[in-house]
Amino acid sequence: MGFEKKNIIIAVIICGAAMILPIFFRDSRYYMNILNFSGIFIILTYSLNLIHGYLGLISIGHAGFFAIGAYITAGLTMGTTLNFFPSLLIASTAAALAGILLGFPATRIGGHYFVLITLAFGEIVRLIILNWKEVTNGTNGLNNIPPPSLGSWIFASRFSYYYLVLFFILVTMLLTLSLRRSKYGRSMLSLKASELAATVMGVNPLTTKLINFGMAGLFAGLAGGLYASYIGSISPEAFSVDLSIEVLVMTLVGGSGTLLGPIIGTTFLVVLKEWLRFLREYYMILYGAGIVFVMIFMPYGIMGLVKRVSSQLKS
Amino acid sequence: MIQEIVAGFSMGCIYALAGFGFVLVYNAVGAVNFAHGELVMFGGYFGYAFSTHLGIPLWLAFATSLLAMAILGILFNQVAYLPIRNRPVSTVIIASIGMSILLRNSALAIWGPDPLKLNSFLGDGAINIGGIVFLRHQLLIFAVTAFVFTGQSLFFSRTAIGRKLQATAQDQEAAKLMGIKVTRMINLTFILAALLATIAGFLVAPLWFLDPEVGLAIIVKAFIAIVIGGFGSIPGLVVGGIFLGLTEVLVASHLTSEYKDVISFFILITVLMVMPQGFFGEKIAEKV
Repeated sequence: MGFEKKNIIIAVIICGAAMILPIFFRDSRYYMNILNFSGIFIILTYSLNLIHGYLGLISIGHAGFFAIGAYITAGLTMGTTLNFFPSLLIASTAAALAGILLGFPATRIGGHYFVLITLAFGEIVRLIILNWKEVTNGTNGLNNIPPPSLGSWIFASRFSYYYLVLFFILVTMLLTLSLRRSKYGRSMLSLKASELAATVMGVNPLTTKLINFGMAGLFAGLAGGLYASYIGSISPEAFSVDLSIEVLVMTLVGGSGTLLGPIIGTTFLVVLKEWLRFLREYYMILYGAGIVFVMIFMPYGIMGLVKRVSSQLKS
Repeated sequence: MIQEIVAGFSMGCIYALAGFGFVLVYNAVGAVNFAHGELVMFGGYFGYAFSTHLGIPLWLAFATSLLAMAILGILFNQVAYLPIRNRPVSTVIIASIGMSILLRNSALAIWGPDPLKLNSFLGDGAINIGGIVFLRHQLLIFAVTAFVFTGQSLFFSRTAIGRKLQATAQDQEAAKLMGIKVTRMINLTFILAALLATIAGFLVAPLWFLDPEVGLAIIVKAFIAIVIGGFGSIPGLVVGGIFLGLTEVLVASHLTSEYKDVISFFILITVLMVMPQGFFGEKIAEKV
């Protein structure tokens, strides 16, 4: 019980800090932009956190879900009379369906075979939005996507957008937490540990994996919709395999399968990229070397490092 | 039609050659090297740098590139594979993705984003044989493919070092007990993969030009070829590569050129779902 209380206090402190944080940066469009991008990517990272952290599978096709969310939200808000929120809901549902579709192969194959499936999925989505010019406007992409509105209130400023993103981060976290605590969350972790043993014990791999992938698709679709209406214009090159790999790295650097890992990993990498901007193209060389470094020296990410240090301090 | 088949066949041979180094490493140590495409690209870039910047003849540039790539292969192994070889497969996969980003952006920093052309050993001309026009470079591709794939079967079955490599691939513990130096064999595997990447790079560069994205483009095609043929199978790789090359050309000219890659990716997914062992490959379902 004491443990529970401590966790609730930590959660309240972090929430409070997140509420107050932008007040200090309110006048800086630059810092508000970094905060909002971090927020959107945090939601996307929570999506991969489900697949890698809870099932142990690697996806390098997450840009696909993100693109589905972005293009459908943009298309509905621009082309129909639908408001932002119903459009976002439809777009996220579509991404969730795509997730479920990708969940089926995950029940039959794993390891590097599954990595190739996700690569193919992401590329298929990108090639379709690149070539289906009548709908997606091809390489030029969709421009002048309206900002979200709720009644007469429009989320036009970066400051107000922050709270919209924060709201969806909290929704994502609560869904992740309740999934983790449910029967299905435990089933996922048992499948990750040993699929055979879990199946023998009565875990249904199909249902469990489809729930996981559906939810992961939903999160990534949400992130995509928020992204599209935040930056106002989207084009296919933003949704390449590079984006998928960036999300994978954010997940791993933070610490996959933990509740705070996605927040830490994403913020760390977004801020690092800004901080090292003066390195220009050399940043990406360093980034690649950094991935190898993390895999060799801290395979459980920053959260793993924190846990190791704190358990050493205790003993 | 016959011209299309020649073009598809030669492209398929390149996919098979580009995938060969990848399959070699996979068979020998079970590592999935997502950076192999970048090794192919570097092979081509080294050839360009030596022949253009140093102005030495192409064959000498090829020899120097082989040497440089062998060193790169050892470095790759020492940095991104050996330290983590006992970790889960996913760790090795992600480290290789890191290496692919590192190599791709190094190429961007050194050679810039513009496409560069590497000359072919046989030049740009074409030859008419019995009414069918072959590019001289296509004939080179056929010859090299035939040489490499017959050569490898002799190398692995007839030479001492080839047999040692096979023994290491089958059971590292047993190989160690037989007195084979396993770490040395792993190094050698990565050297061989890098040499094969150089050959593939010299063949693909005159056709596709060299830019920092070409490595990713070629390895994705090689993956599809490998999956069609069956993961780990060398005859399967050749058949899968040629199948993909022909499909691409025929789809592009008779069905749709915009969506030809989408169709290739659908083939990848379908094969993995319906017959994951491909034409010739290993069974991938987990044994109880």
